[in-house]
Amino acid sequence: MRQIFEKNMRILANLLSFCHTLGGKSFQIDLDPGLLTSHIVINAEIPDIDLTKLEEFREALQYPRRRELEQNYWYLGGESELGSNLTLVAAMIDEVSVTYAEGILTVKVSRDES
Amino acid sequence: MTFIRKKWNDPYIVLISVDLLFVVFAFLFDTSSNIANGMRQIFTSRGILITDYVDLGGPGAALINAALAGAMGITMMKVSRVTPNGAIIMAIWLNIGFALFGKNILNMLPLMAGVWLYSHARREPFSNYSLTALMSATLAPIVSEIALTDILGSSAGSFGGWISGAACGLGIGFIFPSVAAYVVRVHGGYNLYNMGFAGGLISTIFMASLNSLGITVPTSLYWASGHNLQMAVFLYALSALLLTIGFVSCSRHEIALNLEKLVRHSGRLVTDYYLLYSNSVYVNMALLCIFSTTLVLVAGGELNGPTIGGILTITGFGCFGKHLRNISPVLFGAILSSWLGRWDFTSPSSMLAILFSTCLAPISGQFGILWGILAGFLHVRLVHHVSYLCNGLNLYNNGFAAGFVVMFLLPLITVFRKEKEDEANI
Repeated sequence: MRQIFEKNMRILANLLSFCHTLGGKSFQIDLDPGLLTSHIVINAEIPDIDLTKLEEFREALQYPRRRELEQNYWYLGGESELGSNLTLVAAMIDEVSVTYAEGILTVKVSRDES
Repeated sequence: MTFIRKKWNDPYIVLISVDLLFVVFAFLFDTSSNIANGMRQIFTSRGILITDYVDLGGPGAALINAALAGAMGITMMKVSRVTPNGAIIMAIWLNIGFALFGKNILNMLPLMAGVWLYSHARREPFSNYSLTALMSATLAPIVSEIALTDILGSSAGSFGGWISGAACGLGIGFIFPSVAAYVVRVHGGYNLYNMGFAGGLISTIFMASLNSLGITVPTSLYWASGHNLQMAVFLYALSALLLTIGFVSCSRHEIALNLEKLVRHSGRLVTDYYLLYSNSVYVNMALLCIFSTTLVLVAGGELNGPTIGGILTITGFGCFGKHLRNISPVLFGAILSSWLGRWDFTSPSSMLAILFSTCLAPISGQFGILWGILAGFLHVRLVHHVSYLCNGLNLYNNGFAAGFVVMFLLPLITVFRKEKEDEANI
């Protein structure tokens, strides 16, 4: 369970780091790590978002889960002082939804922990 | 055309084509009896750095050995039902390249079996550890060193020797995944040869243990010369094959667009160009192969097992972190360092240090040309200095040295460099 929590924390750190570079002012986080499935929801207040970057963000998270990459590189997640690592986040999650409405960016991700 | 495109969309088919090219050129370079004798020589010789299989067994046998290592990697991935990605493609290229100087299927197998045992002990599918299994072969020389010498008491090349070597390989393979996963945080993904750093730590501890018992491992230097023409033809043919696959499976417009995006990436781990740009990466790989081959030729170096291994490694990383823009500053720094140092520019260790310095490409990709040059410059200095720690038992020795370069440079970079937006890191 500890490793599940740590992996989720690193995914969260990466996503928060990128939301910050998108201009995020304040953040609401919902982290629900589970033995079978984990869910993370971030609501970031971003009044003026760069739509091109938002699209790149959305695209970068679309790549499929890659457990062999996760096994080797998951420790790299959370190195936010040196930039985010969205390819790694994509390799560690199964589902993602990115929406932007009324100045709020909502990112929902889930991963199968089994 | 649709059928051809569909075929080339399976990276394993592309890897098999590459493997077949090795076989074709092996038989163009050598007779079958020479190849058979050369293979025997390769299987029964130590593989520590620098053991050039082109020198030891001849060019034909070296290419067949590389093709066998590639076939083993492809088979393992297919059997484990691993969906191909940039890292897997890169790892298979790496195994092919290093099977020209140090790896062969006999000394690789125990390490991979050790990783399999680890996955079994963890009750996780082996496919999760497939990448680690491929890369664990960095320590393949330890297996052959124990099997084919009397350092642990058994007579060289005996059945007992092979059992001891295999047992040691199993043990090292078993601990390798946890060490490899952990050390990645030390360099923050700026050293592309992460497994080399893990292998360096393990082999250093192994060597230190042997030394404490008064056991020494003699060095080795096999370095072929005089093969530049035939090997250049082979490498340019390989590049042509990659270019053809790229242009057959993608439109020119698509390739131009994707390459333009690709060179904007820093290359920091994990940047999987294959997942991002699909078959366009073969063009990037071909360009890297042409560039690095030409660099060795222009510098007056030898195209032999180790240098071709270096070129194939650069090519393989063309789908997992390297491109001409991020490797050039590092290469410049490495060349400058060799030129200003006391080492002969075309000596084996300098030539390899220059080629493998490109594992620091993410430094220039992320922090700019000057930091990239400095990284390459320091890499050459350090690789000459730390090589004695592993005593040639870690094939990805440059990855070990690069780990130290990153550990030294990253704190300086974060202090002296102004914060920049990380758009290149998407």
